Amino acid sequence: MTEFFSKYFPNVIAQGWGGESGWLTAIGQTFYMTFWSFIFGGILGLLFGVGLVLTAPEGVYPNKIIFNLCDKLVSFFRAVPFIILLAFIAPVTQLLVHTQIGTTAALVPLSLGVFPFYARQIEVALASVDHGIIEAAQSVGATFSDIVFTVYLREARSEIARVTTVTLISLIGLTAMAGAIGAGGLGNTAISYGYNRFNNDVTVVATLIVLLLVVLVQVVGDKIAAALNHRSN
Amino acid sequence: MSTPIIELTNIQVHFQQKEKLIKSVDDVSLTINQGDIYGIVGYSGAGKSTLVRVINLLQKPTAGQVTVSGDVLFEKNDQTTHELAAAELRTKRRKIGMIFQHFNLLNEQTALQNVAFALKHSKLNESARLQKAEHLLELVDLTDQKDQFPAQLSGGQQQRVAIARALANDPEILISDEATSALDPKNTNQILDLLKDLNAKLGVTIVLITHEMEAVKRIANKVAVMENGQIIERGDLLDIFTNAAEPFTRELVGSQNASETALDILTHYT
Repeated sequence: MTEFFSKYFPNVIAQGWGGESGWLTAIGQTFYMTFWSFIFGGILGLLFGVGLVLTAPEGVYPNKIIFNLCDKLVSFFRAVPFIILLAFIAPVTQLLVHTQIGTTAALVPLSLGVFPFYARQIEVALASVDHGIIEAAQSVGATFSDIVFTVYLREARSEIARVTTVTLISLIGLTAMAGAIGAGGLGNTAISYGYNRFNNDVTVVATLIVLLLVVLVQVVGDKIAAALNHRSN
Repeated sequence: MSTPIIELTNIQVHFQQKEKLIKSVDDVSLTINQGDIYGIVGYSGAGKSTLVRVINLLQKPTAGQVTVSGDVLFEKNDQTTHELAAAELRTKRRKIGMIFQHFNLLNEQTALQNVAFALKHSKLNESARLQKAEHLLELVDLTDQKDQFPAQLSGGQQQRVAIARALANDPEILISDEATSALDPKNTNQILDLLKDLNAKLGVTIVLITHEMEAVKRIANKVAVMENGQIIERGDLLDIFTNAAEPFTRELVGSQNASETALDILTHYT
């Protein structure tokens, strides 16, 4: 086994486990970036998604100003390609984390990159809640927080689990690009240590690990979505 | 002596759609007395649902006055505009139960949780609320299904959960918006009989919107007929069925022999 590996994947082994170029370091960095930017971007996306649905012209609390503001901001950040956003947002990153490079610096563009995507996904998920259910809730005197939490978020929870899975997967994809600002991670390993040095074995293994991660997220996400679903359809 | 519980005065609901003004409800006045089962019939698009949504202000009228149990909930005319504050409106709404064609239950909550949801802002504590919710499910004969999700229940059962929810805050009024239109004939009759039973037992006033004359005939004591946003005819059930003035009403009532219908109604009433 070891012999097979050292024959066909010599550079993979040369990378080592720990250290700056090690596999565990890269995997750790990918996890770190995915987790924290999902927390920040996720909260931001959820807020914007809920805001968009509530304040839409046909929503429960129509408000042109808030709706247009949310809508335009989401559309803007959604339109900027992530690799450009990395550079474009650098001054803000500097302001927030006092550096423009490294794994932590990548959290700023990653969060801003994923939030509009998540906001749109949440918008779609919440739209699956039948308007009649909202009307029924209003007829028993539901408050703002009842409508948001008990009706929208709870009724759409299975859909939310589904779109969260999609978002996490797309976020893992974004972290691969964060290598461009020295954030490390598996994407960086695949490009810097693999592709740029003609070490194809490193690229292959990095890709396989990312693939494994994505499949894992998908399987777990599908299970959660199924467990949360009590709707007839 | 019957006292008015719902008074709609000169209600107007207009929608501006591009260039076109749609008069969904056009200057309708309607008084419903305490203890009535008031049927409002008409084809779809006649404005029935819009009109009753004005009672609990799920639909704000463009003009008119809404008085429920002696309190003015809404008033808008050329001189004045009077609207309740949001919190006050919520309190009033809890005294007006409503059931819908598609039941509109929370799909991710059990039957019991659905009923308890309506009690969330009552003064009762958690255990008293659950107890009351259980009691309400007992009232609609669903004790055994209390922990089931709506998707696991039949249409008739779902509608009964919705009735229990609508009754949670001891409303004086129950609005039924095509509540039996999605049900089969057997379930339809069960639900209608339940409504009649609740009207007798609890004294709750019922507003029954439907396009099915059979439903009105079975339980209502008064009827209004709507067409194109207006009430074209109204009166006691017997009068409307046997002695309709408007050709449209006669069309709705059907070609059934008048004396046969009268007999039908009278047997239901006794």
